[in-house]
Amino acid sequence: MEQLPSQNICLKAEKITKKFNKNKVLKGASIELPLRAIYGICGFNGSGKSVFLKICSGLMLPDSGTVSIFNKKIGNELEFAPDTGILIDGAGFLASYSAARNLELLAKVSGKGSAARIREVLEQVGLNAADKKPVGTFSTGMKQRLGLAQALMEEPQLLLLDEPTNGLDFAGQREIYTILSELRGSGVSILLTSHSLDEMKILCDKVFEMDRGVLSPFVRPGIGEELEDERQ
Amino acid sequence: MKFKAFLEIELKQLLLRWRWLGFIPIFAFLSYRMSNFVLNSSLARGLTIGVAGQAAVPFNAWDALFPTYNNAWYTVFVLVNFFLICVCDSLPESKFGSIAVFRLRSRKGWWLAKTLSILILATLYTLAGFLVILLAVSPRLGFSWQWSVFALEADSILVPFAFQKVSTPLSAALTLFGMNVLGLWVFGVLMQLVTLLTRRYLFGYGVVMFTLISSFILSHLLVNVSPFLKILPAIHNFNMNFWPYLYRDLPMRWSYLYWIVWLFILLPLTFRLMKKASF
Repeated sequence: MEQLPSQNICLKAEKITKKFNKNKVLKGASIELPLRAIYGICGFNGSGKSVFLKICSGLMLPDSGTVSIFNKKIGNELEFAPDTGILIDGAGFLASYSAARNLELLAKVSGKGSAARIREVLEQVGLNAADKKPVGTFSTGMKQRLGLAQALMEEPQLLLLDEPTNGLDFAGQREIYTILSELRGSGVSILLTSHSLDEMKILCDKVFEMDRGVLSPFVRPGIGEELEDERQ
Repeated sequence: MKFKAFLEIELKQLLLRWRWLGFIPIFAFLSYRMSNFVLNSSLARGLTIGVAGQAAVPFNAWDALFPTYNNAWYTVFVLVNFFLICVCDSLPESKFGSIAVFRLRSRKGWWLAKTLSILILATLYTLAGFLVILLAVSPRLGFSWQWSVFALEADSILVPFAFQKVSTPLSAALTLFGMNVLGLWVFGVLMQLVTLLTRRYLFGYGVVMFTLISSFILSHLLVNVSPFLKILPAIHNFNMNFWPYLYRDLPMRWSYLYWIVWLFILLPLTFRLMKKASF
């Protein structure tokens, strides 16, 4: 893998291994995510994409290997990824509270995110900030939008997104693509997983495949080559 | 500030659940049943309000409270069981809890919040139980800050007569309150520990109920043993007075010490597991 200067890398995962009972899910997965880039990870269900993102965020500890985010080692210098927004495995919320109230509670824990910012981010993902409807009555797509809103709320410099357009209709997917592209334009780096090759094609600077616990550049007719061409 | 906000979320998650509504019929039934018990026992003994020459009131609300909380059957199958059912899924962490922990940025803080939330809920639950029983039975039995004749005569093994010489009903109730809060906290933490190990909260609940029921059986086996051994069954340390612990000759502080020993074992274990926990 091409080595980048460390100041240009926001996420560096090296030789991550993880097993559950006897099932070794990750067998030395490595990745380097440059600043202001969108990288995608594809792979079969159960291939370990979500586990990898969880390890990168600090929500899960690897059996071996290291993760550095903005040059801070996770699990060593810090327990959780700094300046990072996450949407992994779909976010859950307090069903009896409104979207805004849920975000207010989370903002109180992080100590970031004013009422104005909460309104702004809810509007950004296409939710009505004034809506008092409890989250329990939300559709899958609305919950996904809210999950994305909580990831964006504190204006992080790195986003770890696990299937961010899951459950969204075509128009909703387009909106999210626009948001993510704008974020990249404003300097945010994004590592996302997806089952949609079209999504990867639209959003990602580089695509990896999680195959048998290892991340390797994804080159398939029409996808990897196309991306390579675009980069050149 | 961050920790306080996280603890607030934790408590909201544990409190905002329909199953707590079970508290109302359960404690209404207990209050009704216990006030009947006191009234019927008192009437059978000729204790009625206004009997000439009686220094104390014939019966009062405390006479219903102590039999409720000193009854091993109620303790195991109703009081502790209901509490465990209400909080058994505090672990594994919910999805919302996970994104909150990510913002808290500390597994140590997460452990502390999980542990404290069980203590706070145990305190609220016991306090609410005491208040509801006292308030519900007071219209029928009356209320007084002194021991009643019913309690002083102590023909019921469920009334804490051992304390009557030295204390008021309030101080005996506070002692009982402390034992229950500590006991519920210990079992809540034990349930969390098993859940952390198995990642299935029903296992945590099952193990704690098994421990309680086993201790209930053990308590009856340990009748003619030394006072020191009698303290071993957990159920003894929820209660002040019940057969075969009726003539307890160990001071009450031993029961407090008993729970503290449990906590000294359980809290470091849960801390170690939570430091390595995955979300």
